[in-house]
Amino acid sequence: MKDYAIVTENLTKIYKDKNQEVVAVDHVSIKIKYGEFFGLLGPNGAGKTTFTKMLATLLIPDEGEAWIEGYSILKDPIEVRKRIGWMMGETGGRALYWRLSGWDNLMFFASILNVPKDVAEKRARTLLEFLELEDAANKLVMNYSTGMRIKLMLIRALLHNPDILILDEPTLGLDVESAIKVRTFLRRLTDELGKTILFTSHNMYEVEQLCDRIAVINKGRIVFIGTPREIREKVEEMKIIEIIISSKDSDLEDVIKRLQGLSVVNTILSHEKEAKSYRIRVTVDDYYVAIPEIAQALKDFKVESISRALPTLEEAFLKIAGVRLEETEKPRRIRRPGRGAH
Amino acid sequence: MDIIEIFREEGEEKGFHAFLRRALASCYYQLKIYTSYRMNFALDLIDITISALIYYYIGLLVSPQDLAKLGYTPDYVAFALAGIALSRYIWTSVARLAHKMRHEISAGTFESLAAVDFDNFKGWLVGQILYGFTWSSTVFFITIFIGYSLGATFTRNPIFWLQALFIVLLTVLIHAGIGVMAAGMYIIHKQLETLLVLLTAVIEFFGGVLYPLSLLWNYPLLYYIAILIPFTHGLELFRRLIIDEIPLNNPMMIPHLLALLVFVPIIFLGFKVFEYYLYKAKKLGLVAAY
Repeated sequence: MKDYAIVTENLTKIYKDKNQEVVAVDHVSIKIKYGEFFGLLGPNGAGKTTFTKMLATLLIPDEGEAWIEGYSILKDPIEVRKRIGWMMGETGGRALYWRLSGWDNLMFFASILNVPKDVAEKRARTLLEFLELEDAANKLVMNYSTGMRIKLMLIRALLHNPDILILDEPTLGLDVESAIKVRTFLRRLTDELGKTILFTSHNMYEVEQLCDRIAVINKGRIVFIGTPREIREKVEEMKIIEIIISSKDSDLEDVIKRLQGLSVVNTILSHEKEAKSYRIRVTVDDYYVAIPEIAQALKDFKVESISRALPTLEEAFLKIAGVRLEETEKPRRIRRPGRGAH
Repeated sequence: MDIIEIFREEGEEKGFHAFLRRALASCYYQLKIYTSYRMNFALDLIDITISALIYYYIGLLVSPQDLAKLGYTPDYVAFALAGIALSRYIWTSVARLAHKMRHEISAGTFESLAAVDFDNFKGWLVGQILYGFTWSSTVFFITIFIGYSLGATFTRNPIFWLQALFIVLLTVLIHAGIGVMAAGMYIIHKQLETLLVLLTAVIEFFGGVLYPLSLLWNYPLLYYIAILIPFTHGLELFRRLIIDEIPLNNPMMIPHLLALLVFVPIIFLGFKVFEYYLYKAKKLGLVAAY
């Protein structure tokens, strides 16, 4: 276990309600190396947060076990907590004291985290300055924007200099510039200090840029583990055609309708409006049959190009998990037998 | 300085010093949060003054002979204000922690604390008890001061006040044990807070805040309920010390002192119960549920 920063073995969490059980995490086994930037991808309700909360010792698994730097989350939860910095994304602002200033929040948590006052002050001051929060440090957190609260949460997770960071959507709600800054900083933490980062995100670009490896989780189960490149290779058989049409004198809805009417088109993966054109991506079975038919069907539009394309990470995810990242997928439910059931 | 450099410096506080710092931080920042609600703070101060004045006027209606018959100094203002002063500790010891837990859970900060909890919340809880004690002591001293100003006949002998302080500390710690227990239960049983308000009222009523314990001799059932409550003994000892100047080693005081000491294990039991409910909440996924 000591060779890996994080190890999970058949980690399972079942939420029990009066009449039913919901399997949020289903026998998940992964190993994350020291210094690795590991991404956990999955649609809403896939089990990402439950999984990270079990590692952060905030939830006790119903089955299985996990070790953080060799310490069991069940037997040595305090040692585990000392080694991790946990940050809850989306609802992260709720984890701060809104009636205290940003600075007071950091100093309070530094005391709880056993960080000496002088070290805490130095780290907090430098990180506040780096994330451009120093002017707001003495304002009450209730007056912060979502982005500011997320930055403060990130600083809080780093205050005790943990070896492992468990970050749930850390850049969600940040402006573009801040998100880039945070990504670069996180990558430096793994590259220069050897910190291990377990990171959940919906942002495929971010995952592709940052992660050494990715696990795809869906309905509580890991459906893929590998590098971003491997995930793409795994779905190489996906045959994708990208169509670019000038948006001048064309209506995107008409184009989509024409494509949907074609038997050679399996799925319309995405359609985007760009500055002067529409970019539509579809899956087909056979390029050689599909391309001429698509060209014929769209002959009334100003088609700029019809070409073969490689799957994006998001499309790869769609292929593997069977759902889009933004779709809300309900976790697997098991009906409990009634009292009279045999 | 490069941002990465700040992480090359190591440092971790350990042992009792770290525990003390956690407890003091929990107390100090709670005080900051409390005083940030300025109107609430002002209303609390008004409440203390008005309560003292109400009992002063009730005191004018109670016959001193009735109290003398029951073996107390015939000064109802001193009698009632001593009860009121000590009862202020009861809410902060018994119900405030569960109330605080409700705030922490609904605000989301409890989960955040649970992620950085290095001692099963002991430091944080001790800090919260310390905060409650500090606040109640402020109220206590204001009440006693108002009592002196209204002519209440409290002792001026420091020996009795020192003994009274010991009784206050013991009573507060025992009730804080009940409070910690209740705070743990609250993580799972959210309706408990209402019950605690009721429990506080019951403790204050049976504990004899407004009437002498000896009045209950005529009602055996009520008397037995009263003596099962640690506050009853704490208050009886406190009053006898600061009003009647009866020392703790007096045979009349010993039974109450022993009765109070019987409840001491509650202090340790409270933390165990809290730990158990925290574990249960983590098992059921209720740490952040409100």
